[in-house]
Amino acid sequence: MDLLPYALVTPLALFILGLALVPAAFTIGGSFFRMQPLDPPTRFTGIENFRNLFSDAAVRSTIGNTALYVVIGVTVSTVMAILMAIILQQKFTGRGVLIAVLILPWALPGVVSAIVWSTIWDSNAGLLNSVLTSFHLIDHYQVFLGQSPLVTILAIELVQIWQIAPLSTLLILASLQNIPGELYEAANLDGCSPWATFRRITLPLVRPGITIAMVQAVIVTLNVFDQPYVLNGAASTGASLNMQTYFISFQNLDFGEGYALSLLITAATLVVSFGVLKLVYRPVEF
Amino acid sequence: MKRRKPWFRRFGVLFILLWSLVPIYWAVNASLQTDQQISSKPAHYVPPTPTLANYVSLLGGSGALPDSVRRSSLNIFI
Repeated sequence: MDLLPYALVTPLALFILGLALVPAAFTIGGSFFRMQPLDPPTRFTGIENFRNLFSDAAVRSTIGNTALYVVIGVTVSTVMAILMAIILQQKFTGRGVLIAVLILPWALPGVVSAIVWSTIWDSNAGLLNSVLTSFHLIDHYQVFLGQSPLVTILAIELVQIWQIAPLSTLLILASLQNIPGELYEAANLDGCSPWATFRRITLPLVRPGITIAMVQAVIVTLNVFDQPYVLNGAASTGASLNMQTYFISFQNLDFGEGYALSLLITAATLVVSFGVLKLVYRPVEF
Repeated sequence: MKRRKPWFRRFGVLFILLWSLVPIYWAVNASLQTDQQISSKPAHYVPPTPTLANYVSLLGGSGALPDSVRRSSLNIFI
C-alpha cells in the first residue's frame, strides 16, 4: 500500500512537469539556438542570442523604460496601498461597500483598463485636458502620451497602479488585521502620537503584508504589456521589455532571441523579487 | 483601537471612491453619448442626451464587429 501516496500525487506532478517545467526547459534550451522559422536551419549558437540582445538599441531603451515602470509602479502602489489599508483598518459603516468599490479596478482586465484610461489621457477629448482647461491650468489641449518618455511612462504606469493598488491594499489590510488591538491600547495609554504609533507598531508588524504586495507589484510591473501596448502602441517612448519580447518573437519571428529575452526577464524578476524580500521582509510574531 | 482624526478617514474614503470610480464613470459616461458629443470641447461631464444607441448597434446591429461581439459573448458563456 506504499504506492498509494505516489499514485495520488502523480496527476499533479505530471501537471506541473508538463505545464511548468517542460516549457521552462524548452525556453532555456531554445535561448541558445538560432531559431528562425522563416530562415532555417535551426542550429546551436551558444550565447549569440544574448549578445545580439544587448547590442540591440531597442532592447536597451526598453530596459530603461521597464526600470522606470518598476520603480514608479512599486513605490507608488505600495505607498498608496499602505495608506488605503490604514484607512480601512478600523470598522466603520460602509467599509464593506468601500472595499468592494476599491477592488473594481483590479477586476478589470489590463486591456480594458487601458482603454478606459485612454479616454482620460486623450489629446482631443480627454477628461484630464477638459478638467485642466476648465480650471485654466492649461490654455490649450496637451498631448500627454508619446511626447516626453517620462510623462508617457508616468501616465501609463498610473494606469497599471490603478489596477494593482487594490490587490496590494487587500494584502496589506489582511496583515493589518493580525495586529492585536492591545498594542494600540497600550500605545494610547502611554501617550503615543498617531505618527509614532504608525512608525513603531503598524509599520514593523505589517512588513510581511508589504513584502507580498511589493513582490506582486514587482512581478506585474516588470512584465507590463497591456497598458503601454494599448495606450502608446509600439512607440519607443513607452515600450516595455515584455513588448520587445513579443516583437522579437512574433514580428521578427526570431524565436531564439525571444526565448533569450524572456529568460532574462524571468531572471530579473527573480533577482528583484528576492532583493525586495531580503530588504523588506522580517518575520513577525504576536 | 487606534484613534484617528475624522478628517483623515473622510479624506481617505473620498479618495478611494474617486480613484476607483472616476475612470469607470468616465467610460460609462462616454458610452451613453453620441460620437459628436464625445469629442466636444470641453467634454460633457454628464451625457447631455443619454442614449443606448451604442449598445444597441454593438449587440443588435449587423456587420463584422457586432457579429464578433455576439460570437465572443457566446464563447464566454460556453
